[in-house]
Amino acid sequence: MTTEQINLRLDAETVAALERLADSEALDRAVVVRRLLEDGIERWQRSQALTRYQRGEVSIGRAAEEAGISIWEALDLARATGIAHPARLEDVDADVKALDPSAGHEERDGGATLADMPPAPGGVLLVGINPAHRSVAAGHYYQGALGRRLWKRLERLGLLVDPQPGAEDVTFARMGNGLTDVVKRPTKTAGEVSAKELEQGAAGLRVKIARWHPGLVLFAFKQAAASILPRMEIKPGPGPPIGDVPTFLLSGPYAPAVQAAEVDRRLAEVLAAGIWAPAEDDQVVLTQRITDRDIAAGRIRLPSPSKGLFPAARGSVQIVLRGQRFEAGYDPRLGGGATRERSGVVSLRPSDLAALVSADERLRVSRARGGVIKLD
Amino acid sequence: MTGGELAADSSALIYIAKADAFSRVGAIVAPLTVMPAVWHEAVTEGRRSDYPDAARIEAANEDGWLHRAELGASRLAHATTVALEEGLGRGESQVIVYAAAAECGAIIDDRRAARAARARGLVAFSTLALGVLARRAGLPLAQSLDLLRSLAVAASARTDVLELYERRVREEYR
Repeated sequence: MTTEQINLRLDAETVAALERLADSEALDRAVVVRRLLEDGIERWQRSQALTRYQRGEVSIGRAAEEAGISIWEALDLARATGIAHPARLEDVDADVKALDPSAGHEERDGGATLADMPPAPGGVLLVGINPAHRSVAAGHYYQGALGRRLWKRLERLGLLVDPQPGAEDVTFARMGNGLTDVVKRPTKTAGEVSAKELEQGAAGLRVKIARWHPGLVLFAFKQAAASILPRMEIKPGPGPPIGDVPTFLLSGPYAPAVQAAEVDRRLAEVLAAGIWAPAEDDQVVLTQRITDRDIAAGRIRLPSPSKGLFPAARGSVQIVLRGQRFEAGYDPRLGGGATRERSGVVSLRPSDLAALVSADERLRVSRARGGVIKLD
Repeated sequence: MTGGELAADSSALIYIAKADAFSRVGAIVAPLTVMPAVWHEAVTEGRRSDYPDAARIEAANEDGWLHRAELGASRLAHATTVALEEGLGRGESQVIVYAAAAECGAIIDDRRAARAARARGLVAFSTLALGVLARRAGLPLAQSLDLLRSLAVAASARTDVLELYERRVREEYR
């Protein structure tokens, strides 16, 4: 090592301190000065490097190199001076996004998916993000653990009655409701769907909504709603309409119970006020029990509570019978006098009735937007 | 992403070592690729500086959780250029040059280095994102959260950042 002599002028106080230090360490005064200088320079380099790292001018790796320390020491030093892991809140979603295969190099799937189940006009259209592999394999929507919870939730809300486990979507559709996803490509997780797919899927969803005329678009998950609704208005509960169709976002699967209950209560209000119109006090309204003679005659008899959902006068009505739409005749049969109110009668072709209804069944009656009567 | 190659930066190896999580990470991703400069920073310098956790990185290599890769002379020179241009360390720049050549992902915690990687079209994410990846790979929620939290402690992550990652892990529900 080459050396160079430097002459320094120091004040008497500093010289006295150096003397005391040299005595206590039993070292030569020049050695003490040299060591103090080396130590000071090292500290200054570390401080400089850390400051540059903190300012974002260099990475932690470069800071360690500039400070002449290992990256282990640099990380410890950063922590000791209050510099936490570099991730900030805005980095988290970029991180999660980076895990999306579409951002990288994997391409998967593309074959089978779940077919859309269009709702009857006025029905509820349940919109998910994209099908999960498990559901595609089962051939039915929402067959994961959380999917089953979603079905239970819809059952509590009266959107699903007596479903067959594992085929809840069939019952849901029979009740005049529909199912689709923003993106039809199945993946293991919804996070694997790219922003571009969501954008394209949202355009397709708008077309479907315009074509199907649902009474309500019910988003099962926030990401599905975010694909098509203005970002500022995405929160559980009623959302802005798509065209003239109202929307509603369910609370997330991990929402606190109190919040979920409140959102469900608001959905029940929406369903009662805008979509379904129960006859009285949310009671389930049923037809008379259908007999073989009813089927042969092509008629469905309606007890008085049901008649409140139908026009007051005789005429034709639009009905959706187990998902199929018909123009049917309706007769309120008002001639029974004050003492005996007669059943109203919906008439349609016996062959249509026989194809969809069996003897001894009673159908649930409800009214959708636009005056369409649903019989499920 | 779980089946794809991932090159890990020194800080990622250090955090995983401190969390003693190599076997858990190895269960959700392919063996992490380690560049020569990264090995030097994380293992050689770590041992020289008496950091006992550096031995865990060596052990992880022996257990097959790591894959040490080399860079040719031209790529080493390219890495040096990247380091100078971007203000990065040798390990970080080697990870970026290798990931670009191998078309693989990179685990990089440093913001400046991650930005340089993404600017080159690379998939780069932090060590904490392994918690989300664990959930996507099918690990139960509790284990995924446990991995995330242990990495966050090792990395001295901010509480609000950890909470947001936790939320993202919980959202990986299917």
